[in-house]
Amino acid sequence: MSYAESMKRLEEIVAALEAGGVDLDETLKLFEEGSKLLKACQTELADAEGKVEKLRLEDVE
Amino acid sequence: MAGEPVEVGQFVALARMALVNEPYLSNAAIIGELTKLTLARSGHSYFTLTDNTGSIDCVFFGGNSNFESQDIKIGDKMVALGGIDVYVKTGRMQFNAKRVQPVKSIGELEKTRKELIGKWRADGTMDRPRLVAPQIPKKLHIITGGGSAALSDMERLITDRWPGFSYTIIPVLVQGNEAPSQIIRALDFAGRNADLIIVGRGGGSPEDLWSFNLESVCQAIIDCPVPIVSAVGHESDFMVSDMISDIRASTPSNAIERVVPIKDELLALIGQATDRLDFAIDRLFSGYSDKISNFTIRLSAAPMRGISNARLLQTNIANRMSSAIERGFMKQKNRLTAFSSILNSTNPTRVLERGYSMAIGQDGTPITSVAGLKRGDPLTVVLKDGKVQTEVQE
Repeated sequence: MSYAESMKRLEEIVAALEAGGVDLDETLKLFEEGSKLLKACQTELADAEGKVEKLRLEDVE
Repeated sequence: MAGEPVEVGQFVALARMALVNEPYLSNAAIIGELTKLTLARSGHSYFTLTDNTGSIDCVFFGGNSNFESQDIKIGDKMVALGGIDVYVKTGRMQFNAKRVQPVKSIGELEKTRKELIGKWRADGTMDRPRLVAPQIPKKLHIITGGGSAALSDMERLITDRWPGFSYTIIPVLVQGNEAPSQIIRALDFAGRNADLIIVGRGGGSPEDLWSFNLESVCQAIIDCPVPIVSAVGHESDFMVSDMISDIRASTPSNAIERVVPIKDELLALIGQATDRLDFAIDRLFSGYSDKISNFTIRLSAAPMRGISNARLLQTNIANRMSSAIERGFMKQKNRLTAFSSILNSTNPTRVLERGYSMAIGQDGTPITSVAGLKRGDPLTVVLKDGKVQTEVQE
């Protein structure tokens, strides 16, 4: 799932939980999914970091 | 005064040496109209460049393919790069070209550009679905002039938005003859390695920016499997690459603003989502636990309520009983009162008050009949105001 999709799904989960009316089993499932998505988003952020690479045109074959 | 005569050949050779050793003449670019062109079978090109004030014969050894591939025709304005030379055998001065390139007027360029746009409008290329940039590019490749102001602007902006963000730079020439092929090569490489590409350059003259209006460069952008941001020149410069790329940025800096997120903002969003998730869960669970404790109270209160109901019932009955009893007492009491008033009315002292008297025998009971009385029996006669002792005489 892309970062954008993860955040969108997360928003849905939070909205569903905030609205209430979800039974306990479903709540636990949603919470677990939400926690996983949060972790994935944080990992995604970390993955974008590293170093700046400068290539030479001769090396790009 | 001229000295000894020298041989012609020697003289021309000297003249040649003087000319070719002059740096300004031996390494030059000359611009003019192509007025004569012979593409010899040997592969060499013989041509003449002319303008209002002068003209020179030129030779380009093995140059035929250069004229053909660039479609340079008589009447075109063109540039030849090379140096001066003298053909000693004939004494003719000529320009020894190493490279030639056509110079198209902006009018001609504009016409080609319009035709290209028209073609891509007609065949649906302009309406093709565009790729979407990843929200967090992890393999961003930037193709632009190495050491250019545009590149340092972009680098600075990336660091501002996301310190430590990783990306790759492929420096290329962005103007001149070599630019298109370098840009295309870089695009090809990035198409195989990047997840997002920015291709562009800073501002310049329309001719400087022209690579981004070329069919070859634009076709490479169209064919690239990775989303491409076209970022050329200033706000007002509108290139064909801008029209056919996946994302158009008005300037190189704008490209960065559009595709490199601000890390702190993402962190804030994630933090918000975390808080909301925690809060929603807390609330739901406290809702559940409220419900549970509510049930617990109701459950444990149920027998109590039975008892208290029974108690209530008992109390009720007891109350009813005691009030019934009380009512009974009241009845009795009323009857007693009634009796006592009747009794009162029949009280013998009242009779005495009316002037009667009463005789009481030895046993203290009133004597109501002569029967049983004998002479000499003591009697007590009770009067209104006292008692008299007497006895039966007869």
